[in-house]
Amino acid sequence: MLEKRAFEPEFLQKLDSLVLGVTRARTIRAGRRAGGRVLGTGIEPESFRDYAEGDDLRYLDWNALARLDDLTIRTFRAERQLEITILIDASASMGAPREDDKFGLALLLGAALAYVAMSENDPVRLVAFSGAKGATQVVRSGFHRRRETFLEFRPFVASLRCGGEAQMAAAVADLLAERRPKGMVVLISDFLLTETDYETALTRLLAARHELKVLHVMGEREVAGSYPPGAYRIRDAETGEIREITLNAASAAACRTRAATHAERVRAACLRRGISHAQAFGAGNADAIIMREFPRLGVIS
Amino acid sequence: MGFFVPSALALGLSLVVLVAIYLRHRSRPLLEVSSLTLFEPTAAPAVRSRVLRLDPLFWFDAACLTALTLLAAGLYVHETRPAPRPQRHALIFDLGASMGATDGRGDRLAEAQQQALALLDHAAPAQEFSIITYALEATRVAARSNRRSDLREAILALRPEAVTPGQTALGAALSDAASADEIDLFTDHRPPPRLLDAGHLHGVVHLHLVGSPGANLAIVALDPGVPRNLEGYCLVRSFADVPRTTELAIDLDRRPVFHSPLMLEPRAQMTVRFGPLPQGGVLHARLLQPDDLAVDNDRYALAPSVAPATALVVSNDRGVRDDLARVLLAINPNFRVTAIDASAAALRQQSRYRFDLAVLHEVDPSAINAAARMLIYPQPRSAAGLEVTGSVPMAELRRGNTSLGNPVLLGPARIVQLPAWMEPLATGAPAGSDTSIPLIATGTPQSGPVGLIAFDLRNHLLLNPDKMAALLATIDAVRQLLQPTDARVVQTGKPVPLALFAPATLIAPDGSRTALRPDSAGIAYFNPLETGRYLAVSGHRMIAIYANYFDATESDLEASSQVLPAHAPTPELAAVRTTIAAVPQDRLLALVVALLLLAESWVIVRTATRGRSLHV
Repeated sequence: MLEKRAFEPEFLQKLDSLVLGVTRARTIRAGRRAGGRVLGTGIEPESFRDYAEGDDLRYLDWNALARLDDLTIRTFRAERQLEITILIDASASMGAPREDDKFGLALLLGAALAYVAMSENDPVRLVAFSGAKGATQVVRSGFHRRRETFLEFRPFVASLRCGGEAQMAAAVADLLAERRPKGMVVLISDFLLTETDYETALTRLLAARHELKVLHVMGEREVAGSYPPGAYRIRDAETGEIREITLNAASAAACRTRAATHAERVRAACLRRGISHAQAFGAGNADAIIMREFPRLGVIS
Repeated sequence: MGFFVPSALALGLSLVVLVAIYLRHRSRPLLEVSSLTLFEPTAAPAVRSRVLRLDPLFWFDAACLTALTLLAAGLYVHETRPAPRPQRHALIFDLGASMGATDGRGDRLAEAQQQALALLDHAAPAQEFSIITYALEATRVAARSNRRSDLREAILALRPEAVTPGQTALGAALSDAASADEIDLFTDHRPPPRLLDAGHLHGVVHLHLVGSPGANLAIVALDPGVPRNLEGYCLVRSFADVPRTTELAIDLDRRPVFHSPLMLEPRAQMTVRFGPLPQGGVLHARLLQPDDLAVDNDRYALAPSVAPATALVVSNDRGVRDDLARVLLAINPNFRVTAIDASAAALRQQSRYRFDLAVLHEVDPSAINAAARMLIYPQPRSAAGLEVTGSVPMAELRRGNTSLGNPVLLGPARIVQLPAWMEPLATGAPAGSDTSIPLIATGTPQSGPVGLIAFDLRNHLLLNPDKMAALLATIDAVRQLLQPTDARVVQTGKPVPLALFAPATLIAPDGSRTALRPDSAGIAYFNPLETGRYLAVSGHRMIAIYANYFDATESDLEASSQVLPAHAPTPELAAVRTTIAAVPQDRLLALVVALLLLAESWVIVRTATRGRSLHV
């Protein structure tokens, strides 16, 4: 439901002033062989240096040669576009409790980040992973660069449904198997899975030299434990496991404690790895999260 | 099993209440959460099932109540069990001629009867017996019953018959007893294994071979010859392994004409010649010295009369007239034969006389006065009432053992629709066809014996040595016409037609009387099963029928008394011999209830121990 806001003009206008907090590509020496191939060239001159054997003669400064009779090579600042992948958890836990609309919040934030990223014409795509029949299923949108094409994400976003028991590490492995150039990955999830699984996923992404940002999404009722009191059978949305429970104030407090503990574990795991991390708790706080929490936590600048 | 007994209903209702409580318990609102890790673990067990929840205490209680309900309702199962003991018993008796062999003691049938009676005496009272006999055909003389007195009476009433038992009859008897659990077959001949191994037999076959090797002499044949002309002969055969002596006596109309002691070598056959007989009549040969089998010690024959007889041969073909006259004289030299053509003048001249036999070739003049008429190659319109429906240019004679591969080609023949009173003696077929047509037949309507030879006798057919079968068939037919109407010699086991035209009484050789009722053609049939003289009496008319019997297989008394191993039925059939019984499951259900209660108690104690509860 909430994801529909992502394509409303009023919401997009609020995002126009934001810039993705991304570390740009490093300068490389143009005209020099690097690992057997030229990595790329820019148009902004950086410096000059003496010609050395093996340098590409196309970068020889012919004016300097004519005037000074000296072989000089021009160097440029190479500019590289950054591929941005917004990886969204679409497992069944993202859909529960239904009232929290965690998945809608995740899609809204993901779309907002994509819009922000497209301000610098970086190629952006959305990727969602879920579980189906015991296997991890990863669906991808196409890359879009310009904001004029932002609305092309709408069909993809509308088609996403959460379900199944997802394994984040397996989804990341599937993503890395594409062998795309290193870029930025924004991971949006409730991280309600085993610590081993999400830590493996984070480690793999970092090992692939991606710049990683994490958005930890939780629902308001989930965090507060504010379920209506009474006797219930609760069922794990992903595993189907059923437990009988009586919900009351004490159980709500226990839930809060457990949610806080879980959030702290995720945050600690990100901090240990130097990963930008933000918490997005409560769908009703979407605007505040985007405008205040994201810049503060370095997701956007 | 009934669920409407009070206890079963109460238990069933309690089961329903238990299930209702369980379902209500399960009707807690279901709340789907993102993860159970966000909730405090509780003592209640978690289950990995969306549908079925394993609650041991509930299932134990439900199973226990179900078992109690079934126990109260009286659960039973159908169980296939082997049949406890054979209940149906069939006794099959061979009533062939050799079962009357005495073997120096009682006859073989008496031995079989004693064995059967012993079986009856030693059988369980519930066992049922049926009694089946076979000789010419299978007969169930006593239906399945356990009334020993009736069965005993039926067994003791059995008598051997002077016939050869056929394998078909034995097969029919076994088929009749096929449903029995045990079959006891009493015979003096080992039956073919294929009959005993037939798949349709349900039970075990016990074969009782009765009798011991015996020395038997038999009269094989008796030919009276031609009185005052040709001597007759009697053929005596010994089935003994040692030389035997006997006495042969031959009577003609109860007057002795021959008497001689005989000595026969082992397994030899002797031809004893006698006569010529002084006159015609009933010839009776008998062996005076008793041997093991009596039925083949007597034999009858009819000697033709020596009284002058007149025969008229009518044909337009001179050759046919000549041939027929020769044949008639060969049959009876006492014949005075008149041969004429079929011209009106000749017929008119002969119509003033009465002939014993008129042989009419291709004509049937009503003016001829004859006691018997033989119609040869008759015209379509016959005075005797024969209906000629067509003719064939070439007919083949298939008489007796004449094989289809070696037929006798006869020439043209008429297709005659035989009346009901006529019996075919020989049949044939159009050349190259399989359609059977009667070629030689005889019968006795009220007007007197009538014979039919449907093929033409032109071109000296009867004198052609390559067509001897036609001559022999013709002679047989003529002899049948010349037989005296008040005496017949027949073979036992074959139906005898009698032209009676009125109800009659048949007096058997043993003195028993049977009513004979003629059919629409005036013919009455009976089947002689004893040797000797039968007498058919109808008003003032009497016909004597002399029945002969001889069969080499029955006269050879070589069987030995023994009981052979039983023929077991095939495994498939043995498997069928089972009964289906309803077995109550009370004990099993009670055991299940006890085990379930023990298991439930164990679960409760374990739960209490883990939770450190003083009570559950």
